[in-house]
Amino acid sequence: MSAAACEPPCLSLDHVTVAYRGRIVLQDVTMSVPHGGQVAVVGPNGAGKSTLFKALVGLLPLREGRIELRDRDPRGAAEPIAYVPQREEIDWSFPVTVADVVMMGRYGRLGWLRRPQAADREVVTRCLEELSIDDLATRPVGELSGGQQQRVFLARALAQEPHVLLLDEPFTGVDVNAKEALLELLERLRRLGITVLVSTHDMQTASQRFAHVALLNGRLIAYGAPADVFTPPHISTAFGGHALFLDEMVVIDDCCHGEEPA
Amino acid sequence: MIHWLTEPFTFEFMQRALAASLIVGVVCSVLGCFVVLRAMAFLGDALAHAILPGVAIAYLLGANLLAGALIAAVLVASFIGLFSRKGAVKEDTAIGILFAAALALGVVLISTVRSYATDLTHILFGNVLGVSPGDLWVTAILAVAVLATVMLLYKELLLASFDPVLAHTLGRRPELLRFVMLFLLAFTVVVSLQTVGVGLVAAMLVTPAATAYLLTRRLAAMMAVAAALGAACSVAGLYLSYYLNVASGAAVVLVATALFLAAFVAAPHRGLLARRLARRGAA
Repeated sequence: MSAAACEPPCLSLDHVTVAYRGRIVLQDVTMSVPHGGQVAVVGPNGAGKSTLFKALVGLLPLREGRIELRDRDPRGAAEPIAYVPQREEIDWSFPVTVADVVMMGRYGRLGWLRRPQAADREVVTRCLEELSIDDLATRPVGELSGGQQQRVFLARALAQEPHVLLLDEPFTGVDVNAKEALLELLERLRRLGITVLVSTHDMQTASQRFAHVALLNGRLIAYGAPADVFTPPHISTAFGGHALFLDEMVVIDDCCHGEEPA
Repeated sequence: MIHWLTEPFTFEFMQRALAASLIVGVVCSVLGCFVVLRAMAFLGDALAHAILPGVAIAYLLGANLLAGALIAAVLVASFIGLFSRKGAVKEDTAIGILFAAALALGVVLISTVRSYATDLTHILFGNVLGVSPGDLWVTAILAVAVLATVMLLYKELLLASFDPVLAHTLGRRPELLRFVMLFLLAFTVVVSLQTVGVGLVAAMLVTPAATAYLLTRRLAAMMAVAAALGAACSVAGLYLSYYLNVASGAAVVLVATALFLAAFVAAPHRGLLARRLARRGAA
């Protein structure tokens, strides 16, 4: 897998190192994702998956290395990268409706003094329909179920009209139907040319439904097609003693690793 | 009946009192929506008390009290903004210590003058009947500045209050907006000095907005309702003080509290009764 051979536009990371509170959490990550590519980011807890996403979107500074989207530093630009964290630290009693929250995704493009225009409202409506929550548009956000809330924040990310979408563990705690709906959405995004990175603990989904997989544990252990990444040596390196190799299968107990920055 | 309503305002000082009260009622309630949602009630109260030394110094120098208040308010707001960015000390405790000390300093300074008791009472609890035309102009200008800023930066303040993480990734600078909000709070406190005084401005920041929260579902509606409530309480308090001969600032606060209690019990979806009925219906 070469870092140089990448058709622009694409997302490339070059020797990216991220530290948190003086400790290096992610070391020397070099990879590039083609336009419209879909990458499943896997690894044990504390591997640096959330850290990678936060660095991509500018929430954590880089100690070393460079990130480029279409040959420019994407952080601080007109948000071409949208990030949906695993848990939103939101005040759920805040008086905002679903439509209000999704409209917030447009603020980056609106700039400081302009009010939302008709075009913005259209984008919001389309995103709500895309996630099948248009009937919830006027409901206060605090009244929704967990699954509905997740879809609201996904709709907000889409409303940013991003080039790259980062989803942090979107499959955790969702039922089969919701997971399928999400995978269908990702397929639609792929056809629109939106690059997607998804972190997950669901290795089966990662291996069966994604074209690329990135295996992390403090550093990038392997990156490429699932068959090339999910090999015994790689899994052993990533999961260490937490992986047990039996005749027909590998058992992985993924718990209690290091802590990632909140 | 009409005569009863209009009689107080045949006096010029009452007309100014009404204008000042309305302005304070509206500005405090609108900004108060952010104070309530961002849990800044204690901060607002502390800011109000902390400017007392500034007022005291102006008082001793014979200078304009509002000017002294404004300078002190901006200074204290800046300090609060800088200190809380470090995040090392528990903000709650630090604020508690600082504002009590500032209040004590202010009282000590003012008590060096013989007639201090009356003047101190006015500063602490308002003296809306003593509003001069000059004071009213300053009040109006500050109020317009605060409301205009809130309107211009509405969506940025909304985003920074609701989801600072997204605000950060979109480049909307939530830390900068926190400073903006502290300065707006400082101006609002100065505006309120005359009608409710240092001691009660926290009530005007919190109570109408809290009432509005119980009655609305979206921030814009909450601000509109809060403004209306703030204006209504101010006018009602003024009438009460005229006819019952009681302190007007305190009367305004009691009216606001009564309205809050009514909403707490009887509000359509969020009121106590509504929720009890809903629970029984679901059972």
